[in-house]
Amino acid sequence: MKYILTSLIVLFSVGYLLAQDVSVTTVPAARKVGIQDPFEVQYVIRNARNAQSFSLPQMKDLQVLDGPSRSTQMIEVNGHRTMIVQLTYVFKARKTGQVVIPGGVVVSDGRELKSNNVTIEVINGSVMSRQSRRQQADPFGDEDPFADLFGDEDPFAAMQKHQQQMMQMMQRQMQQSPMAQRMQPQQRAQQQPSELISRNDIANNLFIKVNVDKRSVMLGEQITVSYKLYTRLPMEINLTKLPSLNGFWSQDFKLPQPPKPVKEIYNGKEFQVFEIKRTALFPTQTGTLELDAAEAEGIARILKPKRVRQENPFGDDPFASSFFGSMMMNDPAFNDSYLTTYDYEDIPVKLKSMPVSITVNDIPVANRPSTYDGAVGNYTIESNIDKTELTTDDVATISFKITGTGNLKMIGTPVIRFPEDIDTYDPKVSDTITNTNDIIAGYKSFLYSFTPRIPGAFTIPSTDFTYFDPNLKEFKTLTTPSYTLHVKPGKNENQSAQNRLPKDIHDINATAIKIEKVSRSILPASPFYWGGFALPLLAYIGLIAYRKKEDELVSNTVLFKNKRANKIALKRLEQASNYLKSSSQSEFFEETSKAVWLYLSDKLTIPLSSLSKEVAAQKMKEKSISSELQSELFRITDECEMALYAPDRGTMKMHQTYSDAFKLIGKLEDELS
Amino acid sequence: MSRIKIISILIFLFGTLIAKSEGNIMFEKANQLYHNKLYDSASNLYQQMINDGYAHAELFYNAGNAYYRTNQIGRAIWCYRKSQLLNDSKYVQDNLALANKRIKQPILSSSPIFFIRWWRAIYSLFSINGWAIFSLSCFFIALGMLFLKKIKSSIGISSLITNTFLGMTLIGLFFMSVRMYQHQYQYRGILIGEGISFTSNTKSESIELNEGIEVIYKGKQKQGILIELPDGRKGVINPSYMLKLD
Repeated sequence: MKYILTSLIVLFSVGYLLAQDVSVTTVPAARKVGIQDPFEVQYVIRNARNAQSFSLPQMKDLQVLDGPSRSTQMIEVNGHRTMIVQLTYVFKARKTGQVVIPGGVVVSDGRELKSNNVTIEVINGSVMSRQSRRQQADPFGDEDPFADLFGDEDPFAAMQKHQQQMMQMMQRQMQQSPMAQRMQPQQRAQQQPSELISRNDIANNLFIKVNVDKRSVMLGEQITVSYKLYTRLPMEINLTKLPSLNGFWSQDFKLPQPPKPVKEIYNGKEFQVFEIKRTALFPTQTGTLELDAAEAEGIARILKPKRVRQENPFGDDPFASSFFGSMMMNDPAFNDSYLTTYDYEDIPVKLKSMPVSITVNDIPVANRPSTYDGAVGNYTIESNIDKTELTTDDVATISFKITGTGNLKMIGTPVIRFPEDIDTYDPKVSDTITNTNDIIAGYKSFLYSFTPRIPGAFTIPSTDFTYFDPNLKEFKTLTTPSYTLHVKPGKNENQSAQNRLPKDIHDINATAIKIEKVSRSILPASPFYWGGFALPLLAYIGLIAYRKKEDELVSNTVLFKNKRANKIALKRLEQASNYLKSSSQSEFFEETSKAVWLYLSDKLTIPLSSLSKEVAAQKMKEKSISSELQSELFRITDECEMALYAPDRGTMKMHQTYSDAFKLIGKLEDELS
Repeated sequence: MSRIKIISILIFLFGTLIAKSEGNIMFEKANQLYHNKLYDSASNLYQQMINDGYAHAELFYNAGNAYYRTNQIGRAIWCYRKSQLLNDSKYVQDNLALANKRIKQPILSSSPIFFIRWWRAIYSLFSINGWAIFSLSCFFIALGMLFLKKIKSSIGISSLITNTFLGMTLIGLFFMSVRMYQHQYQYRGILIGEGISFTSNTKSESIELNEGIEVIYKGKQKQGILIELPDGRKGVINPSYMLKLD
């Protein structure tokens, strides 16, 4: 920090030292040092092309700690070359009070040149601690005093950083005066003020101004706002608050890096003007919108004249007089023995721009097409389809590209009315915006991917894009062409048809239908159901039983007859025996014959009508009755018949027949049962 | 005596006519409300009809739509499933699929082994009453054949056919009892309501289910009812969350 004043003075000197003459100047780093402090003194030799040596006289009050360190610089100004050699010594004072730093002696072209003596004040103790403190707070150091205030995650901090960098660039820009280049980074010299500016006057010499190109616009119309820093002072300013652009979509313009100061006359004074920020604003709401103030903080450096008593052996040195003359010539206090030097003062400043209000009018409602979606500016639209011949497996893409100037970002996605059987995906929207000129221009593209569900021919209708032209104050509608698609079935056509679902549920069925209450009872719980099984089953069982009984009945009569045949036969034989006793011959034989035949009829189940010898023989054969018994039977029946027609056989014969018949029936009974 | 009979028959017929027309008026009113986008009122009216015992595939279908529109996905799915059980159609399938898509966290069903699938396909061929009627019809045919045989032995009906019908009768009765068992002890249901807490049987942790999931009732437990999720997990829920399907 102690170098600063030195460098300042050096800087001031430069402009006036264009002469080819050799000169030497003594430049102490401080005018006031502590006895403990080492301090630097520079001997600046100009045009010492032919300098052969440099020597310091004997010094009893000063001790050389280090040096000389040497640096050389060539400067070319208006074709004149100046060579500067700088020799730096580190001294330490041996006593307090006024100490004279003697001038150095240069031998050049055989001529001796001596630099001026400088008197400094040496005090007890040290001034270093104070200086080092000041160094810490050095606004021109690489350390940013505001850096700690803003976290890295804060988006504003990033902006801040950007602004800072910009300001540093500005600073460097200003330092590109030839003399400054050799300085160490912290030795930032400032431009030379053409006049002294007092502390109270800073506001008139350092301020931020907001320029707006329009103050009354349509919704969505572009406004260009630029924030400019006007300065007549050396300064280090950081933007602390960018205006919050509520109600606007904003797009920053690219500004040249590093920013180039422009000279501008404002209120009759010349200012260095830096454009900090230029933004295109597009209002997104109507009414009176306010651009808040931009705020900046930093340090401005003002110079203060300081009168120092000095032994000046070169009082009438043209260098010295020209050096100070321009500024101090009118100072009545100025004389040879007093030298006015400059001290600087860093003054923290806070800058605030004036808020600007902007009136935003709504887009006219009259004649506003239904397809209007907020686009303001001047646009053209292109549309493109990648294929019109495709299968149900394919995905095709329609692209829209809206090119032009205006609030591109705020253009809504145009809606394509796709046919129902085409599945669509969400459109992909991308925009490319160029912001190099004063107009926000670019293009916004929309990619609509779709896939047909079913084969066939489809027409994608044309789509309208409407924008409002703020210059002509009218709506303009652009129309894309319609496309006809020819879709063939793909490999997965069936599957896709199955998986196809309507977008929304089908509508309700509103046809009049008979709706009846339905009992929720279940059939098996009802006894009638089981009755349905039981009834036919019972009927069937009944039928079977009835059939069985009937069969039984039939078989029973046979059995009955069979069983009763014997009894009947015996009864008839008994009757016959009665006739035998009464010797009524014909009745006896008739009764015996009947007994035998009826017995046969019952026993062999031969109906009486068909009863004959042959049938009986046949039946007996079936019943496997022995032939002896058959012949016996037929002998008896024949005998009976014979006796009927040839009576009077005698009682003996009747008894014989009776017993034979009796035996025969007994035998038949045995055989048949 | 006969006059009283006639009058009572007339009253009965009139009464049923009134009842029928009432159902249709309500249905039309509800449809009208639906078309006027008063889905809440429409769904209330449909639900009232369902509660009153009216049943028709279209009634359930429309009710499902009304519930779908009012975002009651669980009830919508229940209605669509009911409609499907009465008369399946493309419309119901589509709407059911759309409703299923809106289940917040659907549980995919684990596909059962083929024979279980076949078994299910067979017994769900008919409802309980369907199987009951099927077996009774087979029984009638078989018995008719036996009758004919008995009455006129000259009619040549192979006893194989008769026995087949008798066998089908028994099969019908068997599946009927299977379905009755399920109706009584293993019925299906749809989860209804928000924040259904499901305590898994194997892991004793509790998870939250979303409405619309079809589950199978597996029995009562102390804490609630035991259900089986489509993926085979079993657990206990509060019985009020399940709406019985069949």
